[in-house]
Amino acid sequence: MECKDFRARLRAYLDGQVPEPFFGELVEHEAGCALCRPLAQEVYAQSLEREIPPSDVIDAMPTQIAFETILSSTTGADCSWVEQRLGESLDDALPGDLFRRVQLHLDGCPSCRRLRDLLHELPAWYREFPVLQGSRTFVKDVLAATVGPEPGFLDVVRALWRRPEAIWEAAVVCAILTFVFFGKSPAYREATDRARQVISEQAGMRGVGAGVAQGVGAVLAQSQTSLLAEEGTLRRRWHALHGAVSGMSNWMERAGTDLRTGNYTALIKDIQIALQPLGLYKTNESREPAAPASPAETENNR
Amino acid sequence: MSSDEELFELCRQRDPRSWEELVQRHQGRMLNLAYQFTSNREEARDLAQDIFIRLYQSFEHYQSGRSFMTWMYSVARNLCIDHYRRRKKDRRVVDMPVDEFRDLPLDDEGADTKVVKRERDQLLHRALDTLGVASREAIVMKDFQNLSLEDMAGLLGVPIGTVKSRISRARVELGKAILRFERGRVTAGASHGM
Repeated sequence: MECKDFRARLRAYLDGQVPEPFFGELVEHEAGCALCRPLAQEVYAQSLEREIPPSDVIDAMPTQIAFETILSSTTGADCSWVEQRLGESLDDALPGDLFRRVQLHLDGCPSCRRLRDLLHELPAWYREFPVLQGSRTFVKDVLAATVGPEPGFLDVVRALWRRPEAIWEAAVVCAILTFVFFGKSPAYREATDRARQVISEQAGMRGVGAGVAQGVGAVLAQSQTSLLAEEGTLRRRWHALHGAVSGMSNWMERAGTDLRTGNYTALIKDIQIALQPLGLYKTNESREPAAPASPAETENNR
Repeated sequence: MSSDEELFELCRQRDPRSWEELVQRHQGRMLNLAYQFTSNREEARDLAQDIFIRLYQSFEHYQSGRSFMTWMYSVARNLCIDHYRRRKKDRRVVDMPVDEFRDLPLDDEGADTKVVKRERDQLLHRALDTLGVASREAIVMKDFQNLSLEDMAGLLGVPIGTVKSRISRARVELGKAILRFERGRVTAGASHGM
């Protein structure tokens, strides 16, 4: 919109007589034009003062005449003058004189009074306006339209295919989980077997409650014994492992020294020693003794 | 809990978790903003989704240091206004979204109250639909979304005085529209009864 169009409609705009969509365009123009904005404010300020008697004159009039004077000096039947100021009047944003004149008009004008009452009620109407709730589905749809859908089974397989080491990682995790959930120790099995046995025996003799109580007691006793036994087993295993590791470390050090010094005879002997426990190499001493020769063979040898 | 701005910085580095958190946090606000502009649940849902998509596509245009809320509202406002204008053009005659009120709860209040509430909501929806873009925007932002005058002035790019007067005019315009529909209903009811 150009400034000349705005100015041509200014009076009607300030009186609230401009219909949509022109009203919106005028508001936009007023907001954006540094020349027209002060002009509109000036004309608006003048319009507030037009042809309205001063308040002391109004106060001196009898009530009915004051009503008529106010009504005739505002806008009469269409009430647009008051409507333009009603919002500010409700917000207590009108200067004292104007506020009183608006109040006087309202006292004498039922339609404007109804409008004022309705504007008072509007916040309660707003509170009853339906409220929409967000949902997980909505978030999912937005994510699918922006970052893409959630990966499906095939996407996971493709990703694994591109990064094969993930298979090994998954295998390790599975092994740990299997051990945790299914790898029951012999001590555990022993304790549960014992409990089952005690429960069935006692339930037959003294009833189910007593049987269960006895069973729990037996489990606890068995668990304590088993844990001690388990601890001893673990300790022994640890020592064995420690010995194996330190033995291997010694062997590697010895073999490394042999290799560096070029003592190949000693190196071969070390390798034989390492292979011996695995059953891959047998020394003369470890080989089975040969069966005693028959007297005939002895004779032939001679 | 991270602020919106912190989350958005992470979003700009394409962190999907932060984006999900932001959407989760503001979905209700945007859904209701869209609903207050459209008065229709399905349209509101689509419009709110468009708002988030536009936000995601406009990461580069976001200036660091600016309030995320203001930026989100400015993007949402543009889309809502476009949608509202298009809708008004498409539908010269405003259909009453009666379905919106069918599922109002009846258990905790009487049938009369429910009827009054329904009539009120219908009147409000119809009156809102007659408002121009500027007026509807003023009502939605101030009275439904409870934005401050300063935020609105920043969002609309106008002085606070202009915002105030626009809100006042919009309320009066809405009130007059409601009264007009109310009178029309009374007249129609009277002639129907004769």
